[in-house]
Amino acid sequence: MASSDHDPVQILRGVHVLLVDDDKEAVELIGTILRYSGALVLGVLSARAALKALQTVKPDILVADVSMPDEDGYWLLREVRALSPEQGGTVPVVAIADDTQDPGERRIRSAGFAAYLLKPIAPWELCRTLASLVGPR
Amino acid sequence: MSRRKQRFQTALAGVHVLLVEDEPDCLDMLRAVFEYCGALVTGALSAEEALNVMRRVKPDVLVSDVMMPDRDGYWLIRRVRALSAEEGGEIPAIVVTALAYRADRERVLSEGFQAHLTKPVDPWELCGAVSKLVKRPDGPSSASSQ
Repeated sequence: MASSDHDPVQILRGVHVLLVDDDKEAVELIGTILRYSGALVLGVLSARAALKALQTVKPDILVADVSMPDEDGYWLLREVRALSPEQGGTVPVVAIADDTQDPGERRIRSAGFAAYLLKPIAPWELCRTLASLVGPR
Repeated sequence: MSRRKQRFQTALAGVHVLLVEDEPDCLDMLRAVFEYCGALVTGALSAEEALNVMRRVKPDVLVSDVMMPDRDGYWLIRRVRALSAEEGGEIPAIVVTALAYRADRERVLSEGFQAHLTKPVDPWELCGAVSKLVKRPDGPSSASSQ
C-alpha cells in the first residue's frame, strides 16, 4: 500500500471534526485516522446526536455518513443548514458513503455537501480533503 | 499567522480545569476539548460535586454551566467566592451556557464569573478564554502580551 503520501506534520492539527456514522466501528476507525493527523474529534452514532452536539460545540467541519437508519446524512445536512451561522449552520459538511450504495457524485453535490468520499476510506485522502476545506484561516 | 497556528499557542498544558456540567454528554465533549489542548480535567456533574472537589484539590480554573437542576451555577459561584483565597475562593471562573441574552451575561459577570461564553461554543475560543485567565508559574502569565 502506498503510504508515501501520508503527511507527517499532522495536517489537521487545530481542526475540530464532528464525525457521524451509525456504524460504531467506522466512527472508531475514521476517528483514529483523524486523531493521528492531529484533529480534535467528536464521534456520534446518529444524525440526531450530531444535531444535539451542535448545541454545545461548534466544530470546524462535519463528516457524515449519508446512509443511516432513521435520519440520514441528507436530513442532517438540511437541519444543519437551517441553523443560524452562530449556531453552526454554515459548517462545511463532507459526505461519506458505502461503495455498494454509492449515491453518485451528482446527488451528493446537489444536496450541498462540500466533498464526497467512498468507503473504504483512503486515510490520507480523507485528511487532505478536510484540510483543504478548513484551509489556513 | 494562520488561526490554526495560534491554536497551538493557547495550549493548556499544566492547567487544571474543574469542569461543571450536569449533562454527561456535554461534560464529555468539553472535557475532550480541554484535554486536546493539554489540560488536566476534573469533571463534576453538579454544583455540589464541584464544591466537594474544591475541598480536596485546588484547580487553576473553574468552567461551569449555569442552568443545572438543584443548585445552579450562580449558587456555585457564590459559595466559591465565600471561600478564602487559600481554599480557592479567588479561582478564575468561566460560564459556558445556552443563556445568551445581555441580561444573562450581566448577571453572570456580576455574580463573580470573569467570562461568559455561549453554547454552541467554539472550542478554540473556550481554550483561549481559559488560557487568558490562568496564571502559570512556568510560563508567560499572559500569552497575548508576547
